[in-house]
Amino acid sequence: MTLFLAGVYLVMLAGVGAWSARRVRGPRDYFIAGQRAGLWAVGLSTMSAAFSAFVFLGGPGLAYRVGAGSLFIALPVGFTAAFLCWTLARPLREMSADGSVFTVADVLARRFDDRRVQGLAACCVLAGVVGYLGLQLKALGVLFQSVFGISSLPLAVALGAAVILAYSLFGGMLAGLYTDVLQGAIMLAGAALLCAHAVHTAGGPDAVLSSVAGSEAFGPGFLDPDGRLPQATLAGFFLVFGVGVAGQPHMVHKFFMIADVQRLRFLPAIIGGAQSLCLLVWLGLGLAIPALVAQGRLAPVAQADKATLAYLAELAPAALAGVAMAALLAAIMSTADSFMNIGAAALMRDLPRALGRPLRDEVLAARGATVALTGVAAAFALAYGDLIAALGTFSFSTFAAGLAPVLLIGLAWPRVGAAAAGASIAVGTGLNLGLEFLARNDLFPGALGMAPGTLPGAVSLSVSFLILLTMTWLRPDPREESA
Amino acid sequence: MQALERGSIALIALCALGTLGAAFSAHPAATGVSLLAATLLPAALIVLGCSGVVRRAGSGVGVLLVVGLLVGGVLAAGLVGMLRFDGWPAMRWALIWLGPVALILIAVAYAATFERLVAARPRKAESKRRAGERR
Repeated sequence: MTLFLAGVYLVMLAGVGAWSARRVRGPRDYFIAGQRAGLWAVGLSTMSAAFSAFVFLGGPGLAYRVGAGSLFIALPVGFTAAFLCWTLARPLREMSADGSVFTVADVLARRFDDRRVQGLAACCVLAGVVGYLGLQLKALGVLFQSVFGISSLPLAVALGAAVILAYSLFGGMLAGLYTDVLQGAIMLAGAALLCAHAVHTAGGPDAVLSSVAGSEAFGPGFLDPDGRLPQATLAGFFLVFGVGVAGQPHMVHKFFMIADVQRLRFLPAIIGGAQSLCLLVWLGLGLAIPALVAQGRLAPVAQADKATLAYLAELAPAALAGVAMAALLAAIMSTADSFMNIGAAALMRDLPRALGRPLRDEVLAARGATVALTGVAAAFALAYGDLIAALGTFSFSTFAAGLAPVLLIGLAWPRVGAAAAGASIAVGTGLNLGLEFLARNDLFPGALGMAPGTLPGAVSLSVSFLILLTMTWLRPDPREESA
Repeated sequence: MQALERGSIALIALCALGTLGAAFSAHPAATGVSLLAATLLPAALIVLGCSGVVRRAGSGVGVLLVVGLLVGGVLAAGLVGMLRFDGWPAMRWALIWLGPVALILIAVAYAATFERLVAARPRKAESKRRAGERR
């Protein structure tokens, strides 16, 4: 049943890819879906691009390991949709109205009239894309291992990458948009059904909470707001996932595609509603799986990332497991195809333009770059031996520290200059990569004298904001000078 | 540059400084500072990004927005501190999820208020002009 549903789903995606490929007439279609997308399409595709394996596999896995504190990643969803739409959607859509702005780096190049800013933004996007795309491919590999019984993870990752490439390589963002809508709908249905079934199987909300609180393995502390995490980590999660969302290119990129800018006012409700509904899977499985383990109905999970899969294999009926697998595939693939497109645009559009050598056929070059980027991301993910959620937090933070301050403040405050913008992107990205390296070698946060649990992303995001503001304040106001 | 933008930019800087400063301290108060900064930072960024809307709606609404979000931030930071008790677990969950729900309600309320005020201003001015013409 699971195999059949997964097969039907993959065939549908291939069909959408082939249909879209015939409609790609140029870079505008390939990179921003021809700017013809309706509000529901943009809302659903933003949700499906934003929510990935991180939510379906990583979230319940993290909750299983650290308890309720993991939900601090999900809490900002209450305001991030409105925050994004109010601060960025309109300016980004208006800047792209003339058909020459396709990427976040394009936006910054136009705003600051500086090719170095475009180049730095492209480098930041590439650094984050490798991590985030790698995360999706690794999760897809884990899923393919479970569904198809493949023993080798690298082989499963390669097969998963080939499937995504099959539909996104030729259809570009046009294929990505339409498949995202389909995938978003499947994700919402899967998340709601999974949450309801898991909580019901564990005996209802009261039984879930009492089982977890009464067990020796978890205990009442597991349900405290901070779970097993240091409080500095919780505050870091809230900051990085609340503010850093504005730097996520796979989300803000969707704003370029809106056909009618006047209807933007409804977008926060669509994105926020869809995201809240989808996050039920994190809340439901994140609590029900520990409860089922505490009740002795599910064996303790050795690898936290496989908690969702263990539940599906052991306790879900075949039809639900099939829908859940399709939802999981949808979550992973919708995010992966967005990153393939964004990464290829950074590599073959933004970087050559920043160097003053734009390519003649950017679409053809982007297709080649997509394959290369996918290979690099897969290799990185296989070498990064940590939880899916950890890889997701690192990649999210890279975008957040590099791009959020310059987009949020740079587009709203005319005094911000190119030097401040460039410094903010370079330091934010570099610092996050450096601190992540130190953290993986147990040198952060302790060796820098910081509190236990401090997130590299929270530090680099704050520093990036401060650099942008300080350099802007130190620079004479051009309007006062000209007066 | 007007006071609204100046105030929001200063608040953004304070939040970033607060987060960074709190990272160097293991004192329990540092968590409160971090959470407060994390809550206020998006608020300040919204005010900066939507300063045109806030100004059109009137400075009173701008002040209300900042004060409302400030109170929300203090409550959010305080709530996490207060929740560390051995009470009924379901109550804790209800309280945790009240936070985002309250934020959504605040966001919707503010959006509706802005839309109405921004739309009402020209209508009010127009009706005054017509009343003047009639007189």
